[in-house]
Amino acid sequence: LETKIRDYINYQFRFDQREDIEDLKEELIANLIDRYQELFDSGKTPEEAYVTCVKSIGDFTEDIKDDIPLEYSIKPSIPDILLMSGAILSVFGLLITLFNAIVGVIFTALSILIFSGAAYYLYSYSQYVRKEEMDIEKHNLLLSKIFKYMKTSFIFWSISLSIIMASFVMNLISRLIIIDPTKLSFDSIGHYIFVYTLFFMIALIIFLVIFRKIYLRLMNHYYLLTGNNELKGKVRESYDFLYGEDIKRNVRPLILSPRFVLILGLVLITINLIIPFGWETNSKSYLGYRDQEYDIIYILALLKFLFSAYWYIVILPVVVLIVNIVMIIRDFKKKLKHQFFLILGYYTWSVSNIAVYLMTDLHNHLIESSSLPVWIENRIEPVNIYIFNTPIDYYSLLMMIVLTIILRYRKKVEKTYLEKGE
Amino acid sequence: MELVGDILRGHTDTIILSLLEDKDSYGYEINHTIASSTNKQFILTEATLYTAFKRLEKAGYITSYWQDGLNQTKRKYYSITESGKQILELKRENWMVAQTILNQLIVK
Repeated sequence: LETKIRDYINYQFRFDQREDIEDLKEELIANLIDRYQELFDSGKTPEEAYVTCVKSIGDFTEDIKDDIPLEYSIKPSIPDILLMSGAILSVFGLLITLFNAIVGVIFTALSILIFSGAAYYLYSYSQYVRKEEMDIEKHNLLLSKIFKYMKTSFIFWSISLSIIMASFVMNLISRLIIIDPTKLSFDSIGHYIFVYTLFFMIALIIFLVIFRKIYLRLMNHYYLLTGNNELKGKVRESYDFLYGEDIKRNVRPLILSPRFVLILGLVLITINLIIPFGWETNSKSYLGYRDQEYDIIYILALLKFLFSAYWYIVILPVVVLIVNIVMIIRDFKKKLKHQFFLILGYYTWSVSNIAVYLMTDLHNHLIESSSLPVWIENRIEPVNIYIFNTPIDYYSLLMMIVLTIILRYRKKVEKTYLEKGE
Repeated sequence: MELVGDILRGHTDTIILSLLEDKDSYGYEINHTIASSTNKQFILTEATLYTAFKRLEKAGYITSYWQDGLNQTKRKYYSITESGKQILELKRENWMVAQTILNQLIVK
């Protein structure tokens, strides 16, 4: 029995950090054994005596904080769960949209339906609470619950909806092409991707602006109803839970962090390099009737590329690419102070592409004019420069400019931070 | 009974001191004495008792020492100090005054 009591005490104080905890436990155990003995002698069964004993310990843990977030002070109801399900569905809606736009539409619509239904319930319930029960804390809590998953849902909805809209527009265009292919056509998958991305970006910006407007209006409404200006979404809350709240003051928006900018640049360059490799296109391909040879194994394509006679042409971009990679690695090891050079590197990439384009022209021209020595002429062949001449190039150049603007903006923000003395 | 307990709990320190004045004692015995002399109407929990001991020891009103008891267990005995006796005397006087005042105000 002593071990039973001892075990129980040890369990109860397992998190106790007080210095004299061993003394306390020893004293407590002695007292409990005495009490047990007396209860047992007075005719109780061992089990009864043990339980009575243990109950008499009372509460030692008053100084240990064990507070449950305010969020859980209302009994959870089905709309709460629906709200969360709506948010999760919005994420899956996006994933599914990537594979199948039609099922994606259904999922996204379902997500919006569930979310708005639950949000409406919570809103009307909060108004009811204010009117009938006059419990303002509960009223505020119900309202804040609506906002918990709102940002996440909004972002994923706008991405899904943009993809759906872009697909829809492309679908329309492809129908027009079928009607009259001579008027309108996409000659390569590169063009297709470019136009698609363009529509996607436009739709995304429109949706993000719309959702942001809605969010701000709702926030304003929330502020008017509750007078509370601080709201944390679930993502922020989880982040704070994981890393502590003090860190959050140092966290800048991800998109403004230099590393994000650098990696985005690298990703763009890689896409730039790989996609044209992967999709060698026959010149005749119409949207909806893709007729490309898919070189799925990039490594093979790369080898073929390296062993062919015109590899020297691309030495410039490849060097730039390697330099960029090295600089990014260095940036991770030790903070580079002048990200300016990296940005310069990216520009060099774009410029080198253009240079390669011109060099290829020259190269082909030389072959045609046949003014080369025979031993060279045998080894080289005309270059079909589909590799760099894709709309993605212009797209990535555009992105570089955007990146520079972002970086400039970031510096400006930093400056104001410093001036404020924060 | 709940409310009575609340009133009594405010005087735990005084009760303990006054019991220790008679003889040195340990936690369970004190609780047992309180229980039996109040006909089991008032029983302190271990937590209340322990916190009271801690408080009193820190203030220097009681001291403690370990002694082997029955059942091969060690017991922590508490004994009252001189300053403890003084404070007890003070508290007794205070209680008498408070009692009179409360009686005048509450009992009709």
